[in-house]
Amino acid sequence: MAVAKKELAQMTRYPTWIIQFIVWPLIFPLIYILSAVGMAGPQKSGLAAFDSVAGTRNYMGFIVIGTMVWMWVNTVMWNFGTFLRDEQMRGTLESNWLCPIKKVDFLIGGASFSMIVSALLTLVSVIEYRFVYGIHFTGSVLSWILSFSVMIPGVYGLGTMFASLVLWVKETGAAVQLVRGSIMILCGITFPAAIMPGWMQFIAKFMPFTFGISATRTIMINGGSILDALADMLICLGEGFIYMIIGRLCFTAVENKVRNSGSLERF
Amino acid sequence: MNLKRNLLAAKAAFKISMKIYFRYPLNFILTFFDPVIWLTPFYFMGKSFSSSGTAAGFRSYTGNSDYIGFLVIGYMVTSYINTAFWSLGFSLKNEMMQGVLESNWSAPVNRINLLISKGLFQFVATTFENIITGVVCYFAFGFTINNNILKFLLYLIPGIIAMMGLGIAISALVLIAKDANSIIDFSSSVVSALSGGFFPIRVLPRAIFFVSMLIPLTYINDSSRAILINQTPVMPLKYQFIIIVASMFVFVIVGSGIFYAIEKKCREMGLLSTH
Repeated sequence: MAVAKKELAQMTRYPTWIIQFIVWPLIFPLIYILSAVGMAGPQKSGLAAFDSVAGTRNYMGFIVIGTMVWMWVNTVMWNFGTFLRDEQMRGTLESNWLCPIKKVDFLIGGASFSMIVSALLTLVSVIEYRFVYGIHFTGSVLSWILSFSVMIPGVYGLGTMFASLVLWVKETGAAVQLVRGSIMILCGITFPAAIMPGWMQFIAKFMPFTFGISATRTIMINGGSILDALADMLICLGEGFIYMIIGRLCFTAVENKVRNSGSLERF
Repeated sequence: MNLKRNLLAAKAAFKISMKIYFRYPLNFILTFFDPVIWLTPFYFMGKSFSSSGTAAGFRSYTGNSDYIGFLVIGYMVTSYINTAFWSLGFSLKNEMMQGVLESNWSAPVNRINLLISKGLFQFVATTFENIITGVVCYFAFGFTINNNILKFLLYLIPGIIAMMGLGIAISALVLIAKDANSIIDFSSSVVSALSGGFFPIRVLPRAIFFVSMLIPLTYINDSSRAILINQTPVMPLKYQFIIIVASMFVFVIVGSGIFYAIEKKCREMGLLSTH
């Protein structure tokens, strides 16, 4: 609770958080949407080709669903990664680490905070895409919440793995690029995964977000029901729990390593 | 004497930046993956809008269907603007967090000199990274250019200096707002988006197209593509060159003016050491 409260106080202390919540969701997908407009051409001649691989001509809806998930993962990555890294930079990580609590509880505190931030970000995004970009989303609000919720274990599993990596290599920016970049390529954030070569599609099957995004698109732009997306949702949930277990194991291993080598305070 | 002091400080700041860069090997390793990470989504997007390997819609905007060349050049030029924003703005935030900004600034040297010298190494690194990007993209996506590289540099160098002027102004905002991430992410994204780094600016609505034409980066992107991959420019290249050179002077003078004004205010209010 203390960690979550501290993170919240810190975020609201800087007025630029408004940019993160209101302006960023509008701007981020724009580059991909405008690229898609450019690829489609002035007469929209490229849309037929897109329809044949994506199963929809609603390329704006297709892209914003992917980018919403990506922003969510990105927020968690930065929160988890910079949480420990900032403490290192300020020289407070070692003293915090002396608290007689499980070290993973620090991350759980950070996770609770980023859960609130991500939920708000997604809510703002949906409203903005509906009213600013005029994108029509299908399905009920409940089914939208459900389709995003099944991605929670995967997001936090990956976040814990990521926090372990930052603790180990002492670098946030490059690590964030690698992880979010892999998600951007493999999970079909801005393009249909079916366009990728077979070997990439095979690797993508090990990412829970591939199925989570697919389920969300089924519900929010293709007009499908929860039953239509059920298989994708279950795989996403199953893989997410495996990620959580791996994340916890990684964190324990790295925590022991940095404690034994005395490298916790180094940066 | 003053010049000697400034050169010594510039050398020290350049060395600090270089040491930090090489201290984290993941940064360098990422150079090989970064172009693939960022360009692959656009590459597959292009494929999903293409029939029989030809992006006919895209050709209508740019004069040829080489969307990979278009994207890679946009990526390379955008990496300079990102460097201008991140290296100048974020170096201040890092010094704030490490608690050394106030002591560094008590040195009897020009502040902008300190700021630019730290960023200068990043520009050298970005140039090296762009060469690697070209090689990686040649193998990954079949990216090729013609041999007009000298002409391309003639347009690029004043454009980069103009962007540094903008970066100096952004770093002044970081001094006030204290939160570098949001400001830099937002401003570099807006500038990159409006300047057509990853799409032809002709797709923009008329009002936004006009705003886009006010940003020098638009001309750097457009002229680079016209020079290196023979795409159709939005206006004759000689006019673009004049605009880029003029904006170099305007942005550097205005950016420095903003920086000095804000720095003076922060010093008077004692805001430098807080973050």
